[in-house]
Amino acid sequence: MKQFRSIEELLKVLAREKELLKEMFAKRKSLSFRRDIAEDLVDGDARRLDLLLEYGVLRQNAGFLELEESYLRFFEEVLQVNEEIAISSVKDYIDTLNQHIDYWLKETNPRRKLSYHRAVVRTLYNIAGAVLRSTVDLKRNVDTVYKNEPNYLIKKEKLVHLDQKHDIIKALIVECERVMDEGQKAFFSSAMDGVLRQAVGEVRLSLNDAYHSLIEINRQILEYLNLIEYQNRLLQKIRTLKYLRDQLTITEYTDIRRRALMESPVWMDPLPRYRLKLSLDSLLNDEDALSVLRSVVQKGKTGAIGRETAGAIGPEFLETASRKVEMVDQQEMYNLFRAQGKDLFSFVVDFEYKVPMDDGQKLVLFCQLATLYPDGIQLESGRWEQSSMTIHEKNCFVEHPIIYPK
Amino acid sequence: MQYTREIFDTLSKGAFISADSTSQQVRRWYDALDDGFQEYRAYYEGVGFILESGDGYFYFSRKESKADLQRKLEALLRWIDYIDFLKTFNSTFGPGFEFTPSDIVIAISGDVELKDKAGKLFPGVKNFSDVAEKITRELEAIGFAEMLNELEGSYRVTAAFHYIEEMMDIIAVSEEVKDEIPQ
Repeated sequence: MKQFRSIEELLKVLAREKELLKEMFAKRKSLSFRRDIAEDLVDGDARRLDLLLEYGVLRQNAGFLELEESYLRFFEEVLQVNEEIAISSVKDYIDTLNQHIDYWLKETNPRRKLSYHRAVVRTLYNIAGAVLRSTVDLKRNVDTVYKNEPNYLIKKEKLVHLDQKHDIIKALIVECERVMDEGQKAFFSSAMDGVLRQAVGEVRLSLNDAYHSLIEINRQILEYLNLIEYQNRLLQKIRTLKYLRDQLTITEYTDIRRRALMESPVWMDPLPRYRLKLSLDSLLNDEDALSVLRSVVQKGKTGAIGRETAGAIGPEFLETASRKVEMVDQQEMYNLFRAQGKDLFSFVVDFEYKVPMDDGQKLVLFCQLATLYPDGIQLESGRWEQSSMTIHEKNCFVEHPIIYPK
Repeated sequence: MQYTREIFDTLSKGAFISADSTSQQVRRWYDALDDGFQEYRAYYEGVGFILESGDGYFYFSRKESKADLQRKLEALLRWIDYIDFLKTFNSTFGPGFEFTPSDIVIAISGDVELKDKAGKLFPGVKNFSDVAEKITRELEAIGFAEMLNELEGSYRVTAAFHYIEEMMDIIAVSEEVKDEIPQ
């Protein structure tokens, strides 16, 4: 495996492949980043991917790529999205601290003594940093696990595991304070200078903050565990009740009957129906009442209430009746007119009708025949005659043309 | 005392008022009830209702129930069926849980146990989407779930759901059958 020769080279390579690294980091949990997708993100240049593999930035697993653990952890920790709480055992930290103090005590060369002194200061800051970071990680992870982990059993186990982490951090704080106060009293009294005093002061403050947060986190973990316990118990209870219900023995083996007798919540009641009578006063005087009445009438019309049905139709309406009206058949008259030789007026006046016809009716018939069959008749041109007729009981003269059939 | 009429209209129909309601109006009623609980309780007692409070919800009960024992038993048994179905659908089903009726339909199609329960949940209703709709309506009517987003058709379970969970929790099961029940 190749190694980067300088920070500059490392940063250059990471900056060039930032699109790929960004995508891979976003999909780090799915563990299925295909190589062909990765190639698209490095402009299709497979050599660039191979370079990353050679330098150990990426790792190839069959056709899939993933970020190398050290880079992944680095990104997660710097961006504070790590799920693993990176805190080694209390012993490691305290041992390192004790070792450096021990070296300082034994060293006689002032220059090297100074370097051990600085190492102690750095280790103290490291412990404080690790404690603070782990506390924040712990808080975040407790919430994430409780809210996002769908499996109850795993959720419970994860929380128990986080509770153990909490114990480790707490032990580290206690142990570190013990070293400062009692364990290495000789070092802290004789080597105390401005730098160490400031470091000790800051570390104490950080540890104190972290300790208080841990108390709260512990309370939260216990609360979550209790809630899970309650939910589990509830789930179990519901299954039991359902089982007994299906077996039709629920009233036998539970106190559900007593419970039902004791409780009287309204939701178990039948839906209430309030029947209210309207006051006559308001019906007479209120404007709103009028609109209510209107809507009631409207309902009545649509058949919702009070529809009045019509009675049966009487038999007299169902009988068929006929009325006789005697009339002169105009077509027949025309045919008879064409079959004889008289002019139309004389024909109409002299015809022997079966029904009584007065002069007025005869005159109307004359006009009707003359206008209905204009093609079958001809007028004697310029010849008009006068005839006396009795119309509306008055004698009068009627001037009429002389018409013959054509 | 504010909103006495609105609160009465809701609670007297057997619904619940929850602290985490999606409706701002209902949250206001809750706050009003929370602030002046004793006052409201005395007020509604005058018309025969007892205002009861729980973990984030209010509801009405009566001194003497209008429902007979048989009816109350049926109501409880019905809810045992519903809760068993909902917890099988998702064991985290409880206050704050968000779902859509189509989530339920999808879960039914992929789970034999749930399919069996869905078939028996409502007599005569066999279509899974009808079952999902109907159970959602039941939850909504009583105030255990409220519509969260009309476009997505999503619902959220309210704090009032604690009530029915607590109700299940306090029913005591006889010691002699505890061991017989398959876990």
